[in-house]
Amino acid sequence: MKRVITMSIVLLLCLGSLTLAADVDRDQLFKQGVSAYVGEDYQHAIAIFHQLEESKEVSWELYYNLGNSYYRNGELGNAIRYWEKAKILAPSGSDIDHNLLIAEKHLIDKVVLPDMFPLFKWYKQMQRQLSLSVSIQLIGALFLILILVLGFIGRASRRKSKNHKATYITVLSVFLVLIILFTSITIDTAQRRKNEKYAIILERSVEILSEPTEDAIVLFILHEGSKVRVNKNIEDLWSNISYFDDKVGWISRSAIGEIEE
Amino acid sequence: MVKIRSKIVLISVIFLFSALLWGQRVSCTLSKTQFSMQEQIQITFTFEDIKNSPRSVDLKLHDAFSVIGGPYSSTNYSWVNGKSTSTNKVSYDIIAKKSGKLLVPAYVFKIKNQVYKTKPIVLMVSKSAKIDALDPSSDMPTMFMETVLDKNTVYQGETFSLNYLLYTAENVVNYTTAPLNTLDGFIVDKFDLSNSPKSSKKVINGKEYLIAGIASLTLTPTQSGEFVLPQKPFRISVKRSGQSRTVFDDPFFGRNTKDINIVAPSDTIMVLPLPSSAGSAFTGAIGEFSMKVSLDSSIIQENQATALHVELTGKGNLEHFAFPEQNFPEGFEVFEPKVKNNFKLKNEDYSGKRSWEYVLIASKPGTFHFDDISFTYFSPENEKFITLRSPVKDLRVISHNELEGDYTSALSPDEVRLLSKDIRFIQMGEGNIFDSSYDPVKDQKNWIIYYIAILFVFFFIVLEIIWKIRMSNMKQIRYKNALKTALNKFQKIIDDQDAELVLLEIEAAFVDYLRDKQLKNNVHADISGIMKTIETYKYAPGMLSHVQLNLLKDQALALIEDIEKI
Repeated sequence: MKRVITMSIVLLLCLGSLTLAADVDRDQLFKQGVSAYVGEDYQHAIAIFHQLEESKEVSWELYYNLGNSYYRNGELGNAIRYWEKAKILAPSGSDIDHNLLIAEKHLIDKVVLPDMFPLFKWYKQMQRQLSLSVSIQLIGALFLILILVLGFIGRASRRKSKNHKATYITVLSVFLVLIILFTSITIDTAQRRKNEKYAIILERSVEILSEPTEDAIVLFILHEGSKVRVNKNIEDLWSNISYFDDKVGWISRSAIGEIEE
Repeated sequence: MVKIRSKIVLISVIFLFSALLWGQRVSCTLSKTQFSMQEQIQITFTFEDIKNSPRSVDLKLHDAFSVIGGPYSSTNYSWVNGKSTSTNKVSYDIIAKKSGKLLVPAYVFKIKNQVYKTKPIVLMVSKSAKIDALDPSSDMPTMFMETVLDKNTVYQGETFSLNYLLYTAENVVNYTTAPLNTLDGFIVDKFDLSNSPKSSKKVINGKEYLIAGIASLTLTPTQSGEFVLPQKPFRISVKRSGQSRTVFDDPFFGRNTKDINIVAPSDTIMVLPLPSSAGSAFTGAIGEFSMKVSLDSSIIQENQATALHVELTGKGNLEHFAFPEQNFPEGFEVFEPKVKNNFKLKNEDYSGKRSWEYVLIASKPGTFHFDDISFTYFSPENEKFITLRSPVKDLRVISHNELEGDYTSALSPDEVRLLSKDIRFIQMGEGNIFDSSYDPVKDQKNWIIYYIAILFVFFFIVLEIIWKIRMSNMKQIRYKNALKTALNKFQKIIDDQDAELVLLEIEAAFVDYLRDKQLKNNVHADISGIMKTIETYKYAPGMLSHVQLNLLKDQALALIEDIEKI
């Protein structure tokens, strides 16, 4: 029995030290990437950060740094792509927003959309600022607070033999409105993530065709950095994309970089 | 006999009618017959005992006088010795346009087939009160006005101003005048009635005057020629002199001012035409100016916008001209300039800055050379046109293809500034690390709060169940604990306290015991006895003593013991 326990402890320690070693390696590699960036060796920095990305463990900082490295390397499309990736993990990251704003200035394709209805605009802003994890946790927290508050009101009314019906209804209404709001935002975000795939144009200038063939009619031209919605893919060759919903066409898959694979 | 009588009646009627007409009279009077061109006088027509007299009169004085107020009409009725008389007055405020000997003609009124005629009046009008004032022989007026022009000769388009000076020996409380918004041949830039004018003192012919510029007028002539600037009437409120007054003198008891109408004299200005040598770059600017031109950027991308700023600083008619049209190289879309004004009207001129911002959008790549920006203005000081020229640095427009490679390395530090801001620095370390296939919906950590919440729901449900169970068992619990509770309560009774309180506590302990045991008074014969004793003591508190209470307590405890045994 003692042997089994000793063996188990040794095994756990080994696993722990292995994990720790892996963390140390990752940290060092990340720092190497930062050094390469600081030393203006952007291609090397990109290579290092990609190496980290290939480990299947990612962070918004990694994506952000990749975006910066690509930007400095003159690859606007990839820079925007990685900043967009970082934004999915950290929607409220101000540095990401700032860099995306700077990148926007370089875009050739610019569409000025009409102002949204204020309430819808506010909803969209909330959606952009809240990550899926945070909004799930937020609804849970609201749910928990609601239960606790209602429970305590119920207990208090029993003890003092007072009717707290009005307080009960008010609290319930306020919390229900908030819970419904955040639930709709969360479901909407989750659905979008599931059903809507976006990509960034990586080539300087690319023709959007009417059909997935080389000799098809050119419908319109998009430039590097423009964000498109991927409707469907035909193997690794073609993607059907839409630009601001109204312009739809086919593009070579190599010309775009998907934000979420 | 009949004939004689009828003649007498006819003569009597005629006599009576004549007697009636005897009191009817129309007269014309003027408030002054000797006055200056700056003074406002009143012409009054009085209709005595004339019914349906006119409420206005055609003065026919347009050549010599200007009507500045009226008609003002008033009617008075009076009874003297049982006879009534009515007087209707119609008056106008007038000022003389000319000086010298002027005639107010005889006016003819035809009212109900009767003709009434006024007498002509001769008036002596002097040119200026000030001229009179400077004449030692003349009586010095207590108040007069002077119009002062800052320039007697100006060029067409050159802004100038008039100041209305009030000379007063009286204590002025307030002054008003109608604002002047339009004047033929001029743009009225500003008419300003000063709220707190600066004043100075001056002695003229031994009389001390306070001089104050009470109003000013800034004008820009739009035509050339000699122009007479019209008189300007003012109403001045002065404090009445300190004579003793009664309520009967002044029905509005306490109002201690009187209004004086006074006119600022007209003046003449010569507006000269501008020389004919003005070029196309002249758009009406007159004054003294300097020009500054700047281009926002020296390098831009194709289809990007940049702005050309032209700023004029100086003094002159800044309000009244547009910037001359400029030629821009082909390959630019140029929008209407955005004009920013930052000037103020000071004294006779506008001074400050005026700027024009031209937004240019490059439609093709290349290096573009701009013509000098030119601006011509007329300088009244130098009496000639002056053209300002300012070069514009070349603008390089980069095509999209030129931007292949590094976005930033293709641009110089100056050009990086063009982009106004740079990206933020990279992150030095990592925070939370996720699996690349991380799905927040599937992450159990995000759902922990829900589990806690559900636990709380269960917790509250359990509490509710316990509560309900306890409520249903309450009677049983009370039944079981009745003796214990009663003994506790009896023990806690303090005998030393007020007898009435002790009685109430005994009653409470005993009644609670009976309730917990769910017993009625007829269960035991002694129960009713004890209850009756308690009731008796309650209604006769004077009879109460601690001995009796102790006895009652013992009885109650003995009864409880009996009941328990049963």
